[in-house]
Amino acid sequence: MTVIDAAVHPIMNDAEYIERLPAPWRNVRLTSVLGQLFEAPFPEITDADAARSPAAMAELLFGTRGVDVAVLSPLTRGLLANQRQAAAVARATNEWVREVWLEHDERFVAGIRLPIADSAASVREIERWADDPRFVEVVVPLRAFAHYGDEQYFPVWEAAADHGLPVHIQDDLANAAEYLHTAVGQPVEWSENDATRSMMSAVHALSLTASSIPDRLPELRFLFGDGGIDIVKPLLWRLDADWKATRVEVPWIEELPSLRAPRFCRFITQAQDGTVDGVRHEDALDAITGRVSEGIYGSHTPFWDQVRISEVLPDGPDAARDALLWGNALRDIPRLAAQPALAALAPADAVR
Amino acid sequence: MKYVVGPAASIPPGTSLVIYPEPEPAGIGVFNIDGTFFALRNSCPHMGAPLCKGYVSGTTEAHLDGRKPPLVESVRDGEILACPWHHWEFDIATGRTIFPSKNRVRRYDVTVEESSEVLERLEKGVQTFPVSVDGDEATVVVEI
Repeated sequence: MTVIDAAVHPIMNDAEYIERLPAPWRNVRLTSVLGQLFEAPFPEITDADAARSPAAMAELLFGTRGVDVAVLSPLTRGLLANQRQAAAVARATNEWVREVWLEHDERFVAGIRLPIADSAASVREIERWADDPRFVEVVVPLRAFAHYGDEQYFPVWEAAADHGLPVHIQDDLANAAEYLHTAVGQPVEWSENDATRSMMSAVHALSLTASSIPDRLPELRFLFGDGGIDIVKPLLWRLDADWKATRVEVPWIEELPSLRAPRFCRFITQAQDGTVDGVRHEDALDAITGRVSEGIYGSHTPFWDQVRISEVLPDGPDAARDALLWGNALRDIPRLAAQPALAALAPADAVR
Repeated sequence: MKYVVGPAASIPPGTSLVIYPEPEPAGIGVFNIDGTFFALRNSCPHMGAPLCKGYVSGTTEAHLDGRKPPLVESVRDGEILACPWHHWEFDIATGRTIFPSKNRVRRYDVTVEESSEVLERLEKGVQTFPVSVDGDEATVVVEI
């Protein structure tokens, strides 16, 4: 059985940042990894060794679990108010991933972290690393200062598309500088915060669907790293109704938004998705998402709420399980096809 | 059957009139777009709203050119009817929705005839809207 794990999160510690950041940023204390606003009443990072050590991560993923290729999307320290600092942190993170992780094992590939609030700096960061075929996607934070369908991001998405890099949207957890979750205020309990994270995925998904970006960059894919497909779908149905009434404001949209979104939105498996869960039962998956082809397996190692390979459609059908475990990733992260560890695979037929 | 709506001059360009002939109790909207008359059933295929009581305006078109932001243009002013309930847009000339769908409102053929001809028809029992038809006025007739 082939497995591509599309959500593996190395975490760089403070000492490593201090070593790699230029002045003055090496003298500025970074936010803690998980932020201060919300703290779970249990350890959220359950495989801490794997988070910091490529050897431990390789042993866990490739040894114990039988993963073939792991796509690393490292955490940074959340959105930062200072965009020069954010650019320095992104660059240090990318350097660390390349030197420490990609050099360790050819079964590791990675996403390029971008200081997304600064489009020009983000394009520079893409250009800095894109010639290295082991960088297979770009990674941007779920929390953002503007919806990802906003025109300000277009140069970033264009650069990503030009290099064949999908955009992985990932919650960085750390709450360094961010808006309120919702217009009605801030969650109080950790569980509220965790449950409402999917709302942010939904906002970005709707924003991108309503924008003209899918028409102008038809090859670009957005991978929602923290799931949310169970929230996004009903909101797309609402967008359908609104579109019929207000097509006049978005005349570039020529099909129902609920049909448009699956052309470019993908959802990495997430333990909290769905009424039962997002991946175990095909019937439930169909009811929630409509299509297996929109899902991509990701474990979320080293966190507590990992999705186990054995949880992905344990009762089949085999073709759908293969699509989730590797076929869809190979289709939607094009650079994976050139990785030595996956050389024997051909993209699977799309499973709908 | 032919249904006489009334003098063409009573529905100037850019205006419309809803008539209620016996065979169509929901009514029929008669629209004058730049001197050409169109007629649509006064019932939205979506939820049955009195469609022809909606408002007439234009719509927008997007011109996509590679990766440039779409150029959005206002087009077809006066040719589009928006339903008063859910604002679905319809092409008055065809009865079709502007967004791609299978929904379509029934349309009727409209002719403009000289009143002398209409009066001739009236004698043969054509149903009329209660308006006077004088002299050689152009008269709007809907084929129901």
